[in-house]
Amino acid sequence: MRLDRFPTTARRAGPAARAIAAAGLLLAVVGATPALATDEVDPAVARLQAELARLDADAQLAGMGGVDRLKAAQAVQALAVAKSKERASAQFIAEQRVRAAVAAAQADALARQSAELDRERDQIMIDASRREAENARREAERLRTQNLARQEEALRLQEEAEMERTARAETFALAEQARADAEQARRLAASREREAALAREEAELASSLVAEALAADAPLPPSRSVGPATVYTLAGSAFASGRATLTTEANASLRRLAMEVGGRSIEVVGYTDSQGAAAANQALSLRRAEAVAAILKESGATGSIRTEGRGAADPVADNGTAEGRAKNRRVEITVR
Amino acid sequence: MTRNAPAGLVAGLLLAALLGGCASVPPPTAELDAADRAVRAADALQPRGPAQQALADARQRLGVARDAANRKRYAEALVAAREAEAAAANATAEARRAALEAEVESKAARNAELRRRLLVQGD
Repeated sequence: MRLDRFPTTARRAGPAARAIAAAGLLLAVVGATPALATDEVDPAVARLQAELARLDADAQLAGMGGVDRLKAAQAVQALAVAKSKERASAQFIAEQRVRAAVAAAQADALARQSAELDRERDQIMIDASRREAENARREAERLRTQNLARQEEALRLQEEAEMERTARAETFALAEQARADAEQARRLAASREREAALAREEAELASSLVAEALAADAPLPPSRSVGPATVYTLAGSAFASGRATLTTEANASLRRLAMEVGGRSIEVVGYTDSQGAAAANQALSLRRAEAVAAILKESGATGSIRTEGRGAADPVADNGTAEGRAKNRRVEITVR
Repeated sequence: MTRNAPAGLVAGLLLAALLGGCASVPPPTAELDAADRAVRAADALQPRGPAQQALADARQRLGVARDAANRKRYAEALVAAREAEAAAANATAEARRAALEAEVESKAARNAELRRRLLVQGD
């Protein structure tokens, strides 16, 4: 809105304004004095018009405060034509209206700015929502990836556990197989042991039969009569040197003797030669006597059997010679 | 000359009206009501600063107008009522501008805070 459309003097106005100017002239004639001569510009009017012109020139306030601007322009126009007695009031009103116009235009601009700020706020919220949605999407993606990784890890662990279980089962199976093999071997060994035992028993039986057969044919040990008793002598050759094991021949002779003696009482006395320590000789002689007694008992002698070891005592030959020592190494079996 | 005849007629009529009207101005009821409404509207905005001063001015002039009207000095009441309305309009515009200034300032700060909190911090 241009202030030029509101001429400041009646001279530049239309027919109506010119009529008003003419009326002013008439009033001057009848005694009333107009505010100013029509060809002079009131400084207050000029100032207010300039203020409105600045307002119009402000591009940022263009089109704002329209009603107040119109009223301000009208008030300034009224001031321009006011009579002197109305001038103070007209100027006051024009001043107020111009200020109101400026303030209203600025208020409109601020209202527009406020609306823009609201739109900006809305845009910020929209952007924030988008960002939040994007963040949520990323988080969901992250969680999905994480979950996938966990699933893969769980699967891997499951596979490992399965492999371990399989390996354990295989190991267990191998161990079971080994145990079964061991059991089988043990059973085989036991079987073989039984076989061996049977074979041994068979052999022993055969041996026993052979021994009995041998004993039946074996000669009795040499003997002599001492009163009512008969003394049988097993020569030292019946034993290996330093041992109490009888030879096969001596064994057969003793078995034969056992068959002969039946339930009579027997006294078995062992002797050694003089070589070696007396205690050792005494112990050896006792072991030999006990070996002889054992064979007699298992071969059929049912009477009492007393054993005794006398070491190198009671030699029957010279211990100075090998032959004599062989004679001294003996077991005497007294049967009563 | 015929072109100037209507102008001369209008001038004559106006002069007659001015001369005859000085003694019989009617009660400015409409102007007083308008001024009263304008003052109330300004008052509703609870103006501060210059607007508050303008509103006080408007009230004072409205009081003058009412007083003059009561004393049947209608011409004086009319002038004061118009002044009151203009001052109240100024107070209203000033108050509205001040309120909007505060509103814009508040919204700008709010937007800055929102941007900082929702957009900048999120990065």
